[in-house]
Amino acid sequence: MAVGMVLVGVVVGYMLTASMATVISDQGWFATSGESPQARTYMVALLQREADSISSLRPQQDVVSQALAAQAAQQSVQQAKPLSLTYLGGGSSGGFSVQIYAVEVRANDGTQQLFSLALTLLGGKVVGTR
Amino acid sequence: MNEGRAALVLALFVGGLLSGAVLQRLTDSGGRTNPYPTLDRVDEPQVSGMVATALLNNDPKALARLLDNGTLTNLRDALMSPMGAPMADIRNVRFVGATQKANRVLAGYIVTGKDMQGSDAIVGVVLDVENGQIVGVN
Repeated sequence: MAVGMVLVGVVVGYMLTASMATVISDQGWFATSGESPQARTYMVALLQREADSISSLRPQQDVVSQALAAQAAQQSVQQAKPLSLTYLGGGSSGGFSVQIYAVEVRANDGTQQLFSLALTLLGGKVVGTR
Repeated sequence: MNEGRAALVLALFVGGLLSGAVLQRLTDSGGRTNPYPTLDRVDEPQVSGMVATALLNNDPKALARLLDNGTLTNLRDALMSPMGAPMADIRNVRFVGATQKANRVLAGYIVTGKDMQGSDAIVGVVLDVENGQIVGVN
């Protein structure tokens, strides 16, 4: 009885904490300038050309938009090799969160390029990239 | 069930609850880790700080002095709220970080305020600095 009660408590505590963490993160509550796990996952998926992972972090899209995104991911395979990924910082307001990254790549012609990407997230989904 | 036994059962449940919460926080990896190297962070470039101040002070003359026509156009495009409306009232411009490769610095800013529709808006702007001059905006 005692062991069972402790186990039930552990399971309920674990699930409650996981659910709360997800909701808080998705809604941007108590958001600070720290890096969002969803943004980092999106950036890594983008650099590793994982169309499915990218799609899962985007708002629901029609089939043609998904096909275009998959094509873009495939084309970038031949275009550049990622060298570094640096989180610059971020912030949030009104449910939106903005996360800024610096990306360094080596192009096929051997030149290295440094550029930035600013992700806009809403409800844990990437609703905009620039 | 007597009161003492009920209190014991409740205490065991609460203890388990807390243990579960602690266990979740310890085992939560917080998403994927970054498998790539990161560049060193650098201080805010002076010129990008001047642009940030000009934005915050709503000072078009200073912006016109600091940025060329093409960069100003890019800055206007960058200051578009997530709802697609231009930022009309900039309340805060916060430097969040910068990094450097060779003589090129990327300086990131978070701009908050109200857009043309009167909604709260947040925008990320990155100023591209080379040899002490702003050469690009994202």
